[in-house]
Amino acid sequence: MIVRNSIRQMFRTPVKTFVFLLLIICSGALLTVGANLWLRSNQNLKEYEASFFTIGTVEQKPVSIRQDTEWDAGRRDYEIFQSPQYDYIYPVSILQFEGADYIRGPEKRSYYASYAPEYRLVCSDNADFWVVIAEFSPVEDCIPNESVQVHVTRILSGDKNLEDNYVWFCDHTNENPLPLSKDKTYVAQLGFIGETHGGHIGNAIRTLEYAPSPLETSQYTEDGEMMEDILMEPSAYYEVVPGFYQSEEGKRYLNYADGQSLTGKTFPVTGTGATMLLIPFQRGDAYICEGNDISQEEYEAGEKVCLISQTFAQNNNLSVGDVVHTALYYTNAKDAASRNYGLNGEQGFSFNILNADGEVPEVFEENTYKIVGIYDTVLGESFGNYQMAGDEMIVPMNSIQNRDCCNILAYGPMKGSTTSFQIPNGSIDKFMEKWEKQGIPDLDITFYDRGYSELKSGIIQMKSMSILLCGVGLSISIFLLLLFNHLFIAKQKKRIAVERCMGVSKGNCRMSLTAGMFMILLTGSLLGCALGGVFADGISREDFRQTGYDMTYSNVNVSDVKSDFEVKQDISMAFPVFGLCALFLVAMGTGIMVYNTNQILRLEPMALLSGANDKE
Amino acid sequence: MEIIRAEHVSYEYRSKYQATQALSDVSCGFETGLMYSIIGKSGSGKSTFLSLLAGMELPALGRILVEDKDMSLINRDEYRMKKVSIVYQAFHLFPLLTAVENVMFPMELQGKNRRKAKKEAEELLLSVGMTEETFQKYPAMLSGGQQQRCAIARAMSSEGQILLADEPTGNLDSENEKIIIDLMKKMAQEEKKAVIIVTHNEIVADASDVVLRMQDGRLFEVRTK
Repeated sequence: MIVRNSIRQMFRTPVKTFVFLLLIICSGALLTVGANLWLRSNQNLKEYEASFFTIGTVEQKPVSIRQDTEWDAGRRDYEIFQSPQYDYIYPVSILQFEGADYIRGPEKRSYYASYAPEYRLVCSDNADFWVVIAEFSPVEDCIPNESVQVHVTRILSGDKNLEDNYVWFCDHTNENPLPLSKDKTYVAQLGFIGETHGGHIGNAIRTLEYAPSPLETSQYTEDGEMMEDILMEPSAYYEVVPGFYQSEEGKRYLNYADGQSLTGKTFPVTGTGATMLLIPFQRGDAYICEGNDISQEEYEAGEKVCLISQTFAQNNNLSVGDVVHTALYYTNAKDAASRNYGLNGEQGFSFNILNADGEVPEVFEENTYKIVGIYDTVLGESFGNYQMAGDEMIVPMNSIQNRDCCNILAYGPMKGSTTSFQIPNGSIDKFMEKWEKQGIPDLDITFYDRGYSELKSGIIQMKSMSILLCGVGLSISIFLLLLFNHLFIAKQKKRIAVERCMGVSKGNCRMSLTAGMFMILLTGSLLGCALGGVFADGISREDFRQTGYDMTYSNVNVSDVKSDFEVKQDISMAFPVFGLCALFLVAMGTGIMVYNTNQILRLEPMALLSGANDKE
Repeated sequence: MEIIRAEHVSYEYRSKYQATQALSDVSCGFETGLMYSIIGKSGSGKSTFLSLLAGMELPALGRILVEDKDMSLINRDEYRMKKVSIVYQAFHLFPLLTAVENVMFPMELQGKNRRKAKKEAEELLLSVGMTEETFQKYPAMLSGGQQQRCAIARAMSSEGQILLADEPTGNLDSENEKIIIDLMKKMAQEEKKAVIIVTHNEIVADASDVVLRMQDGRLFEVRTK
């Protein structure tokens, strides 16, 4: 009866009651949306922390640009070209400084050429190599300072179709080439350099001319010192005389031909400390499509495990769990593998596959790796040096015993494609502040975080918004509860005094005052918070859909991208929050009601009722 | 027969800074079937005395006996519900309950069936001169006299034998004043209640069977007709 009367009296002021209900619904919705977004933002930040990687790449800037000249027989003038000059090549250890908070410290990666005659490689079919070692005789006595016709008598290495054919030859970069005699045979490494030119070509159709280049060696010590070539300034071509191939110069051509035959049976092996440090993986242009990434433990322990390309796996019927044999015979400590081994099998080298003695480098390490994952590549923005090489195999750097010490045929400064490190997400500014204090201006550091900074700033904005919503919702709730407590409870002093005078116990008076308001509060809180839960759910879904898009391929392993089912599971957190917010509102409202009621019940009823003109 | 009796009752109000003696050594008894008036100047202690008789507070000294039982030993909520009803100068009807619901309230509080309570409430309202059209009206829609009649009907609905009234005619015109005095008298004589009225009104005092005059918290004079 007490409760019924209390509710009845609430509904006898329908406008006030409806406004209270409506406002409590609104404040409950605001509070729930705010609380949900706040929790969601925190959860998203944690997810992003786990899903995104911030990688820094390092490139040493040249101290100066040297202008060199080279004779251009076609233009009969000197060509000016520029080459970067480095006074000193910084070791990667320069990046280890106090306060550098690395997750994975800086590494300068070399790639290792692995001789693999037992495998089918993308470069195996690339037999028509553009560089050939050929013996030739000119069709007439001439000075090859312009295109002259020569008869190719023998191919030692390269395109065999050229044998017994006529090609145009020019010692293109030599202003004063030695004369050629038509009765003699010469040997040279020949490569395309441009179109035919000069008076010898007459009315012949312009075609490509071959130019010779000297067979120099470029081998380095592990400290980066260039080793001296046993031939001092080798010539671009030599006359083949009896016994020539027993001489140092002659042996070099035979060795080089042997070395050339290896390149078509070679795949690059890259040693790293984490797959994510490789920019194509970090940027999402490469991803693991089968199996798993190499684990951090495997990387650190130098386990004999590897990742291979899908093409390599398909060409050799390999799958996860199979093994790959490697026979490393030279080290390139200058370039990323993709600079020398193209994805489609094309090859190009800035060095000759010869050691300082002019011999083909010997295999210095053999290993057998278990395949744990197969990666694929997509056409992204990272072309050139920032893409994977053809048949490139990724192994833990620590699994290579003789890393960076044997048969180093190329050596150079840190480059973005070879040097990287990982720092915590969102710490770029802090890192750079400390780095700049080191006072080393010659290193360019570029960061890749796949948009983490922008996403984080978006989430922090959303978090601020959610705190604002929570604050507004909470303030409005408190204000409403105080206001309506005043209207529904504090202004009912005399009603309670009359009830007390009629013998209604204090407990029942409490019930009489609060039951009606409690019912409205409960209904409003449940409806408002449920509504807020639905809004927050919608916002979270939209947010997660966008996040899901951004996170595609952001993990090394494509299977890590969340499925729709998992998304729903994550979003279901909106509903417990709704319950908690409703409970909080009801508890706060009840607390205020009970406090006010107790204050009223302390007053002396007769004193309250004795005023003749008092009106409620 | 005395239904309620005050014996050497004293009471003082205490605030943070001072204590005010509201009642000093008041002794008197009230019988059923009689109408009493307690008169006196403002601050003479008559409203405090009424409050003590209503069981809202207990005396600091002395005792109040209800049917020979010490009030400090009985359940005072139950006492107020079953033995006492109060009429106020400002009526104090529940503003959000209709006239009939106001009268039903004490009956329902005592556990009476709602339908039965409604029927009895309507009869009570008719008995105090209210018309049927006023039954479903809210107090604010009634005149002062109608409100006080409604309040008396509410007091009559309680089965208690004591009716306390605090200036019941204070807000009424002379015509309504007479009606209310008659109703009070009727309650004393026909319903056999002890009707105790705190008033300044000489007409009410004249109509009473016993007049108690209070002065400075003491019972100064008891005049019986």
